[in-house]
Amino acid sequence: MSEKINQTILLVESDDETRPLLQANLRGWGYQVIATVDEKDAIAHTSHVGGQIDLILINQVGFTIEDYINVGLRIQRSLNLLPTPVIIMAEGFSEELEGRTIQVGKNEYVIYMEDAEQLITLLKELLLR
Amino acid sequence: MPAKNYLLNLFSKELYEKLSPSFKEVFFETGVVLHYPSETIEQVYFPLNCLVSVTISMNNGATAETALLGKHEVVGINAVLSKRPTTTQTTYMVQQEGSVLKIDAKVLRQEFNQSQELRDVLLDYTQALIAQVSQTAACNSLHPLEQRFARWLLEVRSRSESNDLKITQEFIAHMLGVRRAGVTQAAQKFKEKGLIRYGRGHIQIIDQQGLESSACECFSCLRKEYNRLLGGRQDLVL
Repeated sequence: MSEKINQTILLVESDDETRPLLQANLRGWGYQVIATVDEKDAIAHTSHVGGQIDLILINQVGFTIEDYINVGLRIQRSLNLLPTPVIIMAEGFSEELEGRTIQVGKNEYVIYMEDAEQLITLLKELLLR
Repeated sequence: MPAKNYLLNLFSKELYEKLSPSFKEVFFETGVVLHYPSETIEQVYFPLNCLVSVTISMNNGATAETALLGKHEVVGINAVLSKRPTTTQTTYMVQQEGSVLKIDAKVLRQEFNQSQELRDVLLDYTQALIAQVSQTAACNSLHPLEQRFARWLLEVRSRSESNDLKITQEFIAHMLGVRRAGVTQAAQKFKEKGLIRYGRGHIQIIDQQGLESSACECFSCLRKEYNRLLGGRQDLVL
């Protein structure tokens, strides 16, 4: 599975149990990962590597999808990352949405994960096109 | 003698024949709730091939499983042990559809008060159930999600006697009291290790030994305790 891709994903994941699993899987799929807890942490820890971030991946925990899209846009702006893709992983959705990926802005996507393969496919699509 | 519920298999022929007219086989679909908090428990269920989750929900809606009941257990033991037949905080929900043998709680309690044999079996079982709840409490506090998830799959498998589990990641997340994304990522790790296959609403265990190696010690600890308390004729966990 692992191949040297040399692309960096900024992960924003507030859940302490999910973060290490997601980080390990992303690394296993060949990506470099900067793992952060929230918006403030993401901006603080990545301000020095701004231009080297290829994608922002955020897990929805507690707030609305719209809130998290705005988080992604604020991180983009503060780090001068435009037009870096932002993926929001939705939490607590209906069966009808499961398996779907919806583009909600020019570079913003919401993924309703059926399985992790769906995320792998989207990452490949956004980062290698 | 019924062959599918382990506790019933511990009954002597005489005890089983005495109670058997009061048993009725019933099929429950996945999602049926057998008990809501504060409801009186009027029926006791001996699962044959269905699985029941005992869960606790918090005020914010978060839920976690505190016990898993299947062919090694009986659902509603509270109503036999106590003259106050209810619980105020737990919900009993069918997580894997299947059949149970149902018996009126009052009938079983009456026999419990008369029969030393029935008391021995059900009190040993109660001790095993306390062991399960205790182990789960410690496991939830001390072990990482990946190990807990592996243990949970093994516990479900041992009670359903099947490697094919009809179960959603959303449901598993509720049972483990974790984020759905965490279950998805742990499932992916197991898939990449060749331990399971999974798709929408379905998980297939393809390497049980490998899954045991990925689980915390709680699965084998609990299996040992169940066998100590309830074993004798055969080990419970396959």
